[in-house]
Amino acid sequence: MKIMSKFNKYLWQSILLVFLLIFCSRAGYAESLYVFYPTTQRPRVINKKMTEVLPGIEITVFGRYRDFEKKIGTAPPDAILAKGPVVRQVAGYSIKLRGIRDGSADEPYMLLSVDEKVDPGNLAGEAVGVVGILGRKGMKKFVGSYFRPAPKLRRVLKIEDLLELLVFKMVKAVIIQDHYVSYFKKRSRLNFVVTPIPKMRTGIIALALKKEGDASLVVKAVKGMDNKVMLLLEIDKWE
Amino acid sequence: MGIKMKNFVHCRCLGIGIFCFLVVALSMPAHAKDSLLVIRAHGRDYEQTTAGLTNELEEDISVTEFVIGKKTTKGDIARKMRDVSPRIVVLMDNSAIILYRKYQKELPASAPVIPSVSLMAAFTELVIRGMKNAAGISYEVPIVTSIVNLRAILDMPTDKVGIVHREFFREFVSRNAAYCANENIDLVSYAIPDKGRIKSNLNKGLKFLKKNGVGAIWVPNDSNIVNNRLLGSVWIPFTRKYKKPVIVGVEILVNPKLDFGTFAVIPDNISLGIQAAEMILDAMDNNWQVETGMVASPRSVYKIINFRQAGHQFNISEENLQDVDKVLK
Repeated sequence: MKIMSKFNKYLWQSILLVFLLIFCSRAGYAESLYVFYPTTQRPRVINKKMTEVLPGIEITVFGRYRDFEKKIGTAPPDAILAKGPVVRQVAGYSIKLRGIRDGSADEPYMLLSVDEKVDPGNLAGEAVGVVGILGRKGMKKFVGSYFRPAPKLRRVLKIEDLLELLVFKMVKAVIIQDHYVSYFKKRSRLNFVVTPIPKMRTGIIALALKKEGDASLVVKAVKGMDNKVMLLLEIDKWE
Repeated sequence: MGIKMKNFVHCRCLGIGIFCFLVVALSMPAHAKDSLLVIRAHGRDYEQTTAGLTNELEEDISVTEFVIGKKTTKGDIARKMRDVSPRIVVLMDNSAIILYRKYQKELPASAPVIPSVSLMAAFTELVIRGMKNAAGISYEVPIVTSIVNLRAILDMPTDKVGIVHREFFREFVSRNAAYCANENIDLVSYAIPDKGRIKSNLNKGLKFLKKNGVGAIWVPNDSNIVNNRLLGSVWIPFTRKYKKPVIVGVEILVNPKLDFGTFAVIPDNISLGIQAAEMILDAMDNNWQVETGMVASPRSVYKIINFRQAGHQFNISEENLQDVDKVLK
């Protein structure tokens, strides 16, 4: 009888301990969000502002595709915030929300050159600058699907670095989203010429969630983002 | 029974043979990578650049590092070259370039010329002059890059920028003046003799800039005119009276405690590695030939601001600093 009551006591204590452990591990768990979205802002600025407005979410902002790719391989997050072509490269994630700007979820690309117009159909053997939103091979494939024959690519990490390529005539033109033309015109006094690239449009930004995962907090927080952060991500709303 | 035994022994031998073949075949790499040797000095900057380079190339090229010191000789370089048999060499720092140049000079005329890409050296263009199959990336940030970056964060005129330099820098300055002109920036320069009375000539030069009403001052990375002695006796007394933004090329000069430099623009080491990787891949596509003598400008920069000075003297708000990498308060 004595043994039974001792056993019962330990059993209840053990059950309590297990529940406590489950509760504590859940309470200490923060959903993780990886952001890889090269803009004119520094990753540290994006990280700081997003951390302020998305409390309780573990946010990591990457400045380089390679770092982002490696980290996803070793520690896949609950959610990813990146450009459409980047999200499509990552296996095991599906798009939940799309960023909208001026009523559209995607944006056109332009060729920005200095002094003379560039023919997008005649860039064989020419060097063209581009921000490396994918790896070396990925960028080759991505750009190659819009240019036949494909130009030689000069990749940079930051949008502002494209200006260096134009200033020092290292490239014939740079490929930028339409949205950034005004940024270059504001920053530099070079005589820019803008040429649209036929059919080249990609998704602006997307939130992708790990398949069979739970990132309800991230979704709620991203949907409730204030205008300041949406401006930072260059969008008006999420859909 | 005898036949069965024979068959058993035969099958066993065949099995062992197949097993050995598989072990050998699987242990061999499917495609042997070309190798690259990085010869570099010791230090964090070189490590960062090597990391940028390796990250880009690791899928296609195997990278070996050789960190040199004061006691490294051209014989050590020769031994390493024999051990690694690289298809291409990356040289970081003047010391590495000089050693490799000596090694290359002593090779017999019939020896194959291994291409090299030199970076993180002062005046790369001059140091690699005369080397065979050698290209590089300059470590000096072009003046126009620094000014365009400063202009983006300042709400004051910076269309007239002054520079005092030694004769030695004349070519660099005149080349940069042309790029500045494209950006509507007037470069007001004052050249002083390479040797002689540096202090009084520097004073004259700075007075000349003031007289010409320059909106900012660009300070060259030249220890002959920027050193502890001249900072204390010429530069800092001048900039305390003539309060204009001072652009420098080393982080230490924007230390707020020094109250001298406003804005430092230095090469971004990781991007430098990526840029070098691109040159290596181009060489690979071009039968291991580089464009000899070609020295490219660094494509990406790292920006540091002395916010204590900039915020106070030039009314720069934190809102304007979103594309600055490091803010010193």
